[in-house]
Amino acid sequence: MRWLALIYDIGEGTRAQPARAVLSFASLSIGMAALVTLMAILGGVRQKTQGMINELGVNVFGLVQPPDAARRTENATLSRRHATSLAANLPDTIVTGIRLEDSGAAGLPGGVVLAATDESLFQVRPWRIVQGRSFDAVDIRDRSRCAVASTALAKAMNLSVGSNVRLHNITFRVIGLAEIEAGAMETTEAQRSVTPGDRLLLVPWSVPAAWSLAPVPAINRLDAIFVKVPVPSNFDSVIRQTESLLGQPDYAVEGLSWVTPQTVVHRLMRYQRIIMLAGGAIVFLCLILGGLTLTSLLLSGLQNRVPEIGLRRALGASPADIGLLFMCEALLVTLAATVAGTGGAWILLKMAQSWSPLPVHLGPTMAILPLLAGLILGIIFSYWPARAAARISPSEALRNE
Amino acid sequence: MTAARPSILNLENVSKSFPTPRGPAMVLRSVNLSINPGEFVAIMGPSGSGKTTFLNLAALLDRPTTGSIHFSGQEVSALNEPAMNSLRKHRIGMVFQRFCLLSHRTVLENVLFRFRYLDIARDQALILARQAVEEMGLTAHADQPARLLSGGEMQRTAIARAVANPPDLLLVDEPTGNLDKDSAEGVMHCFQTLNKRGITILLATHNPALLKYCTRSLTCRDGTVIETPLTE
Repeated sequence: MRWLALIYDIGEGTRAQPARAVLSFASLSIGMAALVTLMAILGGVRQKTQGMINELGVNVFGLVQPPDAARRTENATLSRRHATSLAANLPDTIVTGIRLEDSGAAGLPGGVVLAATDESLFQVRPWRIVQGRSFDAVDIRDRSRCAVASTALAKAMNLSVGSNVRLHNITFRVIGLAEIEAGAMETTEAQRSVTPGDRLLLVPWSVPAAWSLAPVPAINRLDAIFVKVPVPSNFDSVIRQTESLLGQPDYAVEGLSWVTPQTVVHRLMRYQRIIMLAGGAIVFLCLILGGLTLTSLLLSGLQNRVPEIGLRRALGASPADIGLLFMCEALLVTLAATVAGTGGAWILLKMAQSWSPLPVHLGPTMAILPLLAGLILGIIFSYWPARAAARISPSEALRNE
Repeated sequence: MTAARPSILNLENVSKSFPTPRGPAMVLRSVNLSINPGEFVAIMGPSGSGKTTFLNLAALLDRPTTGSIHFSGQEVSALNEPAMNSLRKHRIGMVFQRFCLLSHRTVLENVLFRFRYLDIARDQALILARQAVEEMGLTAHADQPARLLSGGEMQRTAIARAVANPPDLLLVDEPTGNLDKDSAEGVMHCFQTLNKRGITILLATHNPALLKYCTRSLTCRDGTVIETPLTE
């Protein structure tokens, strides 16, 4: 009976001041929507970071040739010599490399990336052969004119295992189709060797690039070397060993970029911090404003409801009953605002996601955390008015009648 | 041989003062008084004479500064808050000058509100509330919001609420202050009926015309409460 009556009573305060109640509800809803948006964007950025690490490969780091390397002497550029040396000096690692070829000169349509690699690439990068096979040591040794196409490219160019693709009038047979992880990392010209995009055609790096426009095709040159460390605990020590090897005079490469999970995370963490600080401040202010409006609703309600409080006390309500009533009324407003704000933000983010590639993650925590925040907010901002209501002397309250 | 029934309310040397910036203001001074079961007592006096303070002490809404109050033989001035609450909600009813109704709620809901803080099944509460509404002649208005009632109907609703769970002591503060003559008479007849049923009534008023309904009269003057003849 008492709980049912409490539920019935809770609406009394909000019904008594509908305009103020709507104002509190609206300001809290905006605060909650801002909170959900911030959480969803931070979640999206976190997910993107994970996606980028996945795209690079778990426990994989890359050494990327600077863009102006073509103008340098052979000794100052990243080459197969470096890959071989690293493979020999870094036990329990898999080393591979990639060389970007001139796809336009090879006669491929725009947007297609042509790259030369060895048989280890698919063991290092998280790319998966979905049909046919990858290169093997024999293909590399025999300079086989074979190719592996990404599924996106195969779809675009209508390729399948066994079909032929012509590169500068030389026929290459497609021996496999691969699923390429793409989209999480930004594809820039400078790092196309790391993020070649999803329209990729791979050929063995030992095949002379007849289509190359360079006076002497640099068959040994590499644009990136990738190292996979199968034992995660060795990751940092392998990086240090690699640095030490590349620090030796014979192996030094000027302006070499390192792409490690840490560098990927570090770049996004900077954005995450900025979003967190700017967005967090806005959310905080919105919620404080909403909370203060709620306190004002309760305080003005308190002034208007002094005789009602007196009546309740005369009928046997304890101070705790009065305090609980005010707190429950506040919680009703905050929880309703949380549901509305969360729902509204959810719908808006879904719509925004369909218009632009916004990094947004909407999961069950996006519903649970705002509810928790609403609960805490309701308790904090109703504590003072509830305490004041509970402390009103019944005789004083009835004198106001 | 039967034991004498204890007085329902007994005040011994009760004083009440309130703090003010100029020091404590003494409202009641050494009041000694006993109210027996079944009495209909009027407490008269001008505004500010201490009638309401006296009623608040009798309703256990306040504590005396000095002295002791006994309710049905039990010393109550030293009881803790929950015990005072329990006594108040089970054994005391109150009717206020301005009715103190919940204007959004219907007559029946207002009467049902008497049971809000009592552990009683809703069905049982509903039966008692309907009964009280009927006794006060409000059945036709039972589902009407309280704000739409006339003054007399509002006061009868407030009485129905006070007696829906029959109290041992009914405290009434200026019940006719906001009513016209006819409504006031109707309300006073209700109190008389309740008193005949055995409910002790303590009525605070400054209207001497109400004395004809009472069995005893007290007067509050300069903080003291004195016995006065009903004919005064």
